[in-house]
Amino acid sequence: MHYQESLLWIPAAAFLSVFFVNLIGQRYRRGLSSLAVLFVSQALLTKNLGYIIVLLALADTFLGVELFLSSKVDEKNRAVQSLYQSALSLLPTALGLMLRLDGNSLISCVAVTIVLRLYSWPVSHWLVEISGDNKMFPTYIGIVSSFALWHIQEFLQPELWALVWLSLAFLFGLGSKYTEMYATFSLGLFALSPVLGIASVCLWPLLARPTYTIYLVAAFSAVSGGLLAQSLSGYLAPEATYAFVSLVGAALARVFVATAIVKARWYMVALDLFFAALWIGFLFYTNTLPIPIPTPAGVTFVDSFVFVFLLGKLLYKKKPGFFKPFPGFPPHLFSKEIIGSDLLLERKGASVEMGQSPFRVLIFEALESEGYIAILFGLLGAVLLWGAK
Amino acid sequence: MRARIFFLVLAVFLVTGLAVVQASETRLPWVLIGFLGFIGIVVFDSYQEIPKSWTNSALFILIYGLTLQSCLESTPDNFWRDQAGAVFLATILFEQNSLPWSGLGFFRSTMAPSVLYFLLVLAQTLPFFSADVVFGCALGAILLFSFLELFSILRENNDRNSGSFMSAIRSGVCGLGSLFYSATFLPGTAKEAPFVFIRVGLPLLGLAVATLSLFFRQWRRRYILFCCNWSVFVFWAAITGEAPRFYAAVAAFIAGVWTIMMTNRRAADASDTRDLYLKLSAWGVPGSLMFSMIVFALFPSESLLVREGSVLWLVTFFVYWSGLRKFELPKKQGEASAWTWRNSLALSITIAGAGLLAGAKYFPEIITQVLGQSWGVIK
Repeated sequence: MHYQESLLWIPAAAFLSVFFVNLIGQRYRRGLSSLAVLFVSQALLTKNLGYIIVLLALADTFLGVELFLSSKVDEKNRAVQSLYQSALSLLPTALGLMLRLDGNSLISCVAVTIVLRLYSWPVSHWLVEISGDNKMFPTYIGIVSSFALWHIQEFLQPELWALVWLSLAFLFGLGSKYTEMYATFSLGLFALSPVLGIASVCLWPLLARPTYTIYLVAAFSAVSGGLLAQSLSGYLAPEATYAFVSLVGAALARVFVATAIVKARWYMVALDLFFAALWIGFLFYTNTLPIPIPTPAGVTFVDSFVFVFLLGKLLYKKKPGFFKPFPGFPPHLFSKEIIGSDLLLERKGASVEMGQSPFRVLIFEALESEGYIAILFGLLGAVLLWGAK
Repeated sequence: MRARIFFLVLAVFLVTGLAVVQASETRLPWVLIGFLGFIGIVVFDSYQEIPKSWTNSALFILIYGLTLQSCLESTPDNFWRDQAGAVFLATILFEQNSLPWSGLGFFRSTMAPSVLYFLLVLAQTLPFFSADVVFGCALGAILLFSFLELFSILRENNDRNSGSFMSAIRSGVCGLGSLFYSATFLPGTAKEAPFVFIRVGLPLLGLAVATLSLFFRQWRRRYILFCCNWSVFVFWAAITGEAPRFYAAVAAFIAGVWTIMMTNRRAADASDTRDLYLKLSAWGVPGSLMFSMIVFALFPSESLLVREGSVLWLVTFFVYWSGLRKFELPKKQGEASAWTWRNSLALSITIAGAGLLAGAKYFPEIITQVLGQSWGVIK
């Protein structure tokens, strides 16, 4: 294993702490969401890519069913539509596994899956589309599931992946959210150094809401980007490296400038900070963090970020167009009318008539109640979690 | 009606009992597999179409009996004879119960492929044909029966046949026949060039049919093609030559037959989550019995051709699922029929089937030991 066993537990703990804080904030108190969270946590602890795919597919299904139960008809349609998008996002990794690819080929497949699951631009991904009022937590599942797929990869050329994630950050920074940018740098950092990658994961609780803690996230993103930029020396010429990292730094700063800060209840922010500090403290206690020495490329990245960020804060009110995210493709771009089953004639179903004894009535009433599906899903979740051990 | 239901259930058990008595130790599992597949058709027949008339009941029993009989035969010729009889009766049942159509177009009738099937079966008995040609005929017959409903796909009102008991019977006869043939009578030529390439050819055919389904605007017509493809999928998994995949094919066969019958034909009701879940599970979406079977049957293989075939099948399923991207619940709700114990049973089975994934680590070993070593299903 390319990183220590104890590090496995920190991402799961950080993710569950976010869910715990959300429970306090009364965002999610439903069974199927909790089940989805457990499945994603299990994916963070599992080392087999095949199991991770299945766990994520089922977690997406549970989340979809949950949203189907809780929303309006339009939302219900989108909840069903999202099932396909969620499954499609897992297809590249599934193909890589089935073709028994390894090394950079398999990691490329995983990276494509992550791109499909993580970014909400230029095409809205399923989580953003169906999330309604509770946008942040489902987006979180996208970030965490991306990390779950990435954390078990064996990187033979970590610098190459640092370059890939920096390039993707530049590309998707045109329209994506700051949380997605942060997750991108976490993935790159993890490829370079698992301990530093986990250090960035410790700050997941701060991504839950865009309050003033966003400045902490921005600072850590700049440092992460700087570390990634330092690793490019073997792949690009020095002049090209400086130009490239300056552009990426500016693109990252642009995303943070455009993010509006919202007010949140003080105890929620305090809990976010508490858990972030707890996991960072735990990481320091159990591991020795490498102390990187700054190089010109890293400093260039941070300088570019700080300059554009400060400039953006000054100019944003006068020229917001420079910083606003670019519009993505409209949803359902390729939609075509399909004749559903409502236009067809219907026939009533029939059942064998049973006797009316109280015991039978009790059994069949239980079988035909809506709550039955919740019980079945609960049992399914328990069985699958046991099986994924 | 009650008398016919009683007759039907009794006859199914009698025919099964008779087959059990006649079966040798190696054929006993096939009787059990056939029974499991066909009993699902009777149990999940929510609209009671089989006991609707004595003709339907009698034809069902005859088809079931012939299918079991084909799995007890000692020679390929006798096997194909029984299968041809079952195919012919299945097409009669199909034509008798499908909704009226213009009758124009010979190939729109399922009788046309039934006749072609007979010709291919007869051709196998000609003495001057080589083993390659004979296997080619067998392959053609299996594919013809798998895609039986493709012939009638364009005729009027055919969408109503989606999820019907005729479709399930076609799937049952075809699935059991192709599994038994693959395990018992598959000639050595099937594992050599050029036939070894059917490991990629069959998924390619499936992908082509899935692509064709995109041109149909009605969900139900697409589902008919999905069921046809599922039969080919079962056959493909059976002929790959890997024991765990073969047993996955057996499970996929039972899951396929049951799921066709589990699908409620009424319009999707926005207020009934259970009904919608059951409908989606019929397409093999994650969290369903069929999804578990897809995972089991497509696990990575040592063989390059099988790996490529697996990838093509996965893409094929995604092509079918792509319709979900445009899913919309009906705006006008028809008169909803009551949710019955059969639906609850179906829901329990499909969700319990999703739980089978929990045994993914142990599945190949356990099933191979139970069926392979104890009963010797595979030659």
